[in-house]
Amino acid sequence: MAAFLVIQAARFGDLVQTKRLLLSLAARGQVHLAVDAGLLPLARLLYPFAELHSLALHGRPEAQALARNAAVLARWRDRRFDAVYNCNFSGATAALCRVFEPEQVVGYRPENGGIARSPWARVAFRLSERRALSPLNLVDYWAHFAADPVPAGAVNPPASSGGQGLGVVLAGRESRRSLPVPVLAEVVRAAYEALGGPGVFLLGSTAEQPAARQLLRRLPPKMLRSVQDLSGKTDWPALADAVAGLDALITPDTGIMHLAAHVGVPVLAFFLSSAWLHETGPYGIGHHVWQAARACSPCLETAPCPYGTACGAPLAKTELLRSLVAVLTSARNGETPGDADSRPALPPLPADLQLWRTRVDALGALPLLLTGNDSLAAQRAEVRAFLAARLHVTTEARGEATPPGNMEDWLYNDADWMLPPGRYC
Amino acid sequence: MPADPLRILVVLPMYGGSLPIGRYCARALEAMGHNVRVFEAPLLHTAFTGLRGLGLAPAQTAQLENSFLQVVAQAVWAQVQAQEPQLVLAMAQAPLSRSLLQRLRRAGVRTAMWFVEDHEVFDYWRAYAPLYDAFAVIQKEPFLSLLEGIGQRNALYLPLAAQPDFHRPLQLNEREQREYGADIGFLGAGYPNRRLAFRPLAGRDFKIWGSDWEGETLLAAHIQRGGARIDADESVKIYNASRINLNLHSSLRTTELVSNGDFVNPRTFELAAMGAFQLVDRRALMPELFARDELATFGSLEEFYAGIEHFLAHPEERAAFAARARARVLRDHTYEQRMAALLAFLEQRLGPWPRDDAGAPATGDAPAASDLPPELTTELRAALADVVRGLGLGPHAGFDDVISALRARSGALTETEAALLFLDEWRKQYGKK
Repeated sequence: MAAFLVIQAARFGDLVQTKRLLLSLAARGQVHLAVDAGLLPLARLLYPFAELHSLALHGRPEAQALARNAAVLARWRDRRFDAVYNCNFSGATAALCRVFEPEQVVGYRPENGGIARSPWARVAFRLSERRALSPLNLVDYWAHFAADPVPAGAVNPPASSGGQGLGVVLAGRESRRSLPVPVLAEVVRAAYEALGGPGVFLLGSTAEQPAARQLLRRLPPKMLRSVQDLSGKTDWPALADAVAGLDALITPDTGIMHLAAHVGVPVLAFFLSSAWLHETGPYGIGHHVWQAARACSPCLETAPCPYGTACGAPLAKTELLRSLVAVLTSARNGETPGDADSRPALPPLPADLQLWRTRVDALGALPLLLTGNDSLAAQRAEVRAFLAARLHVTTEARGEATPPGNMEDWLYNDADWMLPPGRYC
Repeated sequence: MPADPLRILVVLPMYGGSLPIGRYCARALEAMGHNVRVFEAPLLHTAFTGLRGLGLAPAQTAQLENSFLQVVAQAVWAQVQAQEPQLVLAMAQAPLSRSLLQRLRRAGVRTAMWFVEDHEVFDYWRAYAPLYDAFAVIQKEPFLSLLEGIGQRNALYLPLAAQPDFHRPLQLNEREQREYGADIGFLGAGYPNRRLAFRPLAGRDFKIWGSDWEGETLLAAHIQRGGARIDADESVKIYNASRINLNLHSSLRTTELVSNGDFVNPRTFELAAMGAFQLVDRRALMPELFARDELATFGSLEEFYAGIEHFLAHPEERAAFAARARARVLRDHTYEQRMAALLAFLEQRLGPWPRDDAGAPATGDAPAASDLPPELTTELRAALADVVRGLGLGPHAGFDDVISALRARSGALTETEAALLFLDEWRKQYGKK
């Protein structure tokens, strides 16, 4: 039986977003998955089919952790893996991959003291130069490390209310990804009423407990008996239990959001400019994302914002609440997402705000714009056609070769085809 | 020789299957009487492998690769400037960058690519095809419409072919027959569909030649020379020596081993031209190229295996198919015919070939009289046009250009060429320049 090792050294959300790759490999052989020790219990829940390898990847270096890693490397040397998938452009994982022959390593390969990228990884890096135009979801990026990955629609169950209440994720890792607490309070209140007053569960780590207390102070008193603050009180299994079966999850771009998509809990996500639906939106069918889309979007959350985080302004307007209530009402009435392409009548949104519903096609994530304007839609479609051609995937848009625009120099690199293909570089 | 021979620069790719085809095209164009120069990109491939062998970090290597390709483009441009071709014919994967193609267009040099690839496997045509004046392809729909959709209105279906003076029947000696011969032979890369389709033939008198068969344990005993690459000369011997040459078009898919694709591969024409028997999978574009009694075909694996048994038992049928296929290729499918079709298409779509200044013939022109040394004898003046043509120089080449090109030429010169060099040195010695 073939054996594959996947090294995913990144964090919570990235581990969940590696799912399509892992499922694809699992269909062909035994999957081994190496993750940081802190994520091992989560990995066990997410991927019960995988043989797990625990590594010390984060935190300060220490002798014992190094010894544990060395022991893992010794085991790897004794095993025969048909391929090793290194998901991270990282010196640390490149170093781990040195126990394998370079040709065994897929994705990012240690070479001449640096990290060489596969042709596919180079394409993705090129796309990241113009993030606004890139339609490539991270789930699909990793999935296509393997040839012919499982269908995108088979990765996560379609979004479906589970009757277990409303989840609220208090913050992402970066505060610039999250709705300010006063705005979040209004969003939670509106969703609570639209859903008919279900139980509400506040989710997050201990770091989010102050935000939880602030939120509780801003919610109407009559709601409080329905609210349960689970922030800082859940380990991985308890978090997975808390998310499973929810009616919906209100969240910024977080690991919990991806966990919800993993189990088919409808996601109601609010993305400021630093989070970009097309890159890291919830994966699957029927999730909703309100995306701030200013001319400066998407941005890097680590870079100072020269506009005073102006992308948060439209998310604080009442139109957002009307839009949210309309989405939840139509969902309660069973109007969505039966037809992934349907566009229900929804109230308008302020400028610079879009509402998307997620769906997939043969290539992968293909969100549908429900409300708002997307001035980059045509260019993004062109990039998507390029990706489909490069991956030999037939999509609906395939065959409609668009007239040359101004993106050829960016997308098509001479070295990709004038020099022998398949090179890592 | 055509009434107006053209100056044509054939730009080869650095690697891959279109490389030999580019050489066949150049030979065919020369045989047609045109003045052909070849941009030998494979010579530069060693520089590329050298770059990768320097042990530099990947980011530096990537930068150097891009710089290297710019140098290659400059080299192509330098050759264009020297030859002043009326046509630059690029083979698939030839190193003509977008900026170079734009430069050629501005300079009024006609360009064409023969894209002898599957358009679904190599997608770069989407960005580059509109920059060529014409784009010849080996597939029809939907490719032709797609090309029109991106603004390439001069797309031409130009199927592959054979080079009869190279792809020819051979009489092999006993040693060669022993080395290359087998009941069943295959020469080509180990694509997934071929691996699976050939496995039931394990244990037969079956020789597999070519590369990319790594990891194929079931057929390992049949793979010759450990999967080493086979050069073109030796391939002719292998094809001639095999009783049945398998010709299964490649496919990346393993769900349908007989892919029922559209284009017909070069092996089909080459085997036919050699008078070698082949068992080939049916292709959508095959009926217009070969009649049913010219090729022994199969449409399924069952037919494939049955065909092998049948034709091994019936050598006279093999010989009849092979003879008819050879006659058809010699009649309709040679590279000379393809090049003639391409040139005619270009003239029809782009207008008459540009002629040089003052209505002079487009090639074989001697430098203007005013540019010639007065000591040049009448005989040497008359012979100069041939020298210019032989050197592949353009119509605006002066006497000094001729001398520079002669100095750079390796090997023995003709007496005319040597006399020209001597004259130049003589003039320098006596300060008459």
